[in-house]
Amino acid sequence: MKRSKRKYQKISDNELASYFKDNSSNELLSEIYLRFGHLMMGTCLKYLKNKEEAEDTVMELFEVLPQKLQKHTVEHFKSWLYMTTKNACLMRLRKKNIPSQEIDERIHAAPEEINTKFLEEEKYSTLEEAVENLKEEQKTAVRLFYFKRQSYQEISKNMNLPIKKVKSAIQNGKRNLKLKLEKNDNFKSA
Amino acid sequence: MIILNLLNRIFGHRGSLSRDEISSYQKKKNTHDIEEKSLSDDFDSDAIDGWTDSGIPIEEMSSLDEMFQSKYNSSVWSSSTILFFTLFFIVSGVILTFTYTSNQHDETQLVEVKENRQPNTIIPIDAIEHSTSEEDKVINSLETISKEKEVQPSSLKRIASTSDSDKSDTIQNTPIDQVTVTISPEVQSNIPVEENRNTLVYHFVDEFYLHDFKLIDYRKFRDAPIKKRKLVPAGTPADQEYYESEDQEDFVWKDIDISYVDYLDETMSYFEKSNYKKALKRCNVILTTYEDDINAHFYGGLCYYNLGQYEKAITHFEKSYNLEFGNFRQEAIWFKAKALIEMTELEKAKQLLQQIASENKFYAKEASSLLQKLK
Repeated sequence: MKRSKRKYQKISDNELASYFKDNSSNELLSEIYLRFGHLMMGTCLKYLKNKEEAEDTVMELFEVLPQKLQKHTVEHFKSWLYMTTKNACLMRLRKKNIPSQEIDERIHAAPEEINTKFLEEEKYSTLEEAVENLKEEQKTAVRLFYFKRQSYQEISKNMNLPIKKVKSAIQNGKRNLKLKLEKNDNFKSA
Repeated sequence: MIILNLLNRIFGHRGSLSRDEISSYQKKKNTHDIEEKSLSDDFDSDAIDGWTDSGIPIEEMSSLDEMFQSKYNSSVWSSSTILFFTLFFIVSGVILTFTYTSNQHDETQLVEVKENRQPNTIIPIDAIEHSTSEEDKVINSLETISKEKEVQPSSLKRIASTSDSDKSDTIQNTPIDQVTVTISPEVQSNIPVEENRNTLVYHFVDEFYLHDFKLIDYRKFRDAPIKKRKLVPAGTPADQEYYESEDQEDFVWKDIDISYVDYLDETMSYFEKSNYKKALKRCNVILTTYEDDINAHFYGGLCYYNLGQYEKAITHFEKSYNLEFGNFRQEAIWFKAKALIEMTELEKAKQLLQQIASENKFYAKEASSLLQKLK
């Protein structure tokens, strides 16, 4: 029966994967394409640096997705799709003999969840302290980005650093911040 | 609340980036918000890197869309969808033709809607609004002013003041009931007041925050709902639609009632996203129901300001505070001064800036430094 609406529109990302166990209709693939096609394409562009190759890789991925999803039980669909996409790019690069590092498909990072007990205002000092203990570069970048809401470009100008460095300082700062807060048992993983 | 927001912004799960967001990012709009969202997931982060570094506009996804569509003959863009859209527009068209034959604007709106419903831009039905007034046409033709001059919505947010002690003091103070202002003779003309008084008492009323923007809390006083024209489905209920999908849904224009707070909430979300035209139209709708609504005057004024309509902005700023509701007084005077500078009415602007500087509040420092520059 054909429907005029997106049948799977309201299904969560993780549930989408489980639907493949029973069937692998084009509607299901379309839903994935609508949600993640542009992210897959962007990721392929990042690693392959070529539009045609990126397009081919995305199309190839959609061909193998149904079998892969029927074979594996995927808990965190978005992370899984990211790893699968990234691996497909790296495989392609390897074929061209460009050295690269493969990523273990089993590592599916779960979305972070904030422990409710941390959501008390008095814990603000803990966060401040954690930020304060970051390395100078990361500290400044994190402060400007999250507290002052500046963009990468503005921070790059203010700190006189290339945008790439700004981004990695924020990413690393965020990771270190999480580690520091985890030490204090302020987080749990989903 | 602030810490909760902050933690959620740093570590919270934010959902995936949409094509529209990547497109905005490539056009250098809302850069910080999109960067922040992309940092919540490596997939989004890599994707935005790919699109940005390659310099390929995301609109070029259309070639991949076509490949995908031809291979999977996607049901999302299937013939039944095309049939659905065609019928949808015919029905809407017929209703509009009969209801609004005299109004040319409605027809253009219908064309816009049709364009928006093309396969690659999926817009929810409730995003389709209907507007008819002359003022709306004028608003549609306006352009946002340059980035440097634009008042960034984020700069007005409560959270923005977290690390700035001056600002946080002002905003997070326990509510002040009233503030007394002494008016010097040279600025008297700028404030609506009887001539023989030189001291005014501005009362502060309860405030609340939506999307972190300060607003007057009218909730106890706003009973009348805001009327909104909307395309609503008529016919098969949604839960039965699955079983009777052969019946096409009909859509009709209907006046629906929305509570003041809900309407304001959505308006502020447009303002937050720098969608000034939409926010402004909605402020004007609020003003047709509540003509002296402080919130609509103040944020409507800011929208006009960011759209380069300084005269109109000033009119709204002037109406955004009075003796009864003094909450937005400082901000209104500050932005009025800035609008006057844009209109090169420097003398009037200087008077206002002096007034702000002398009151030693939120914008005092900025006013002083601006005064220095003007001299």
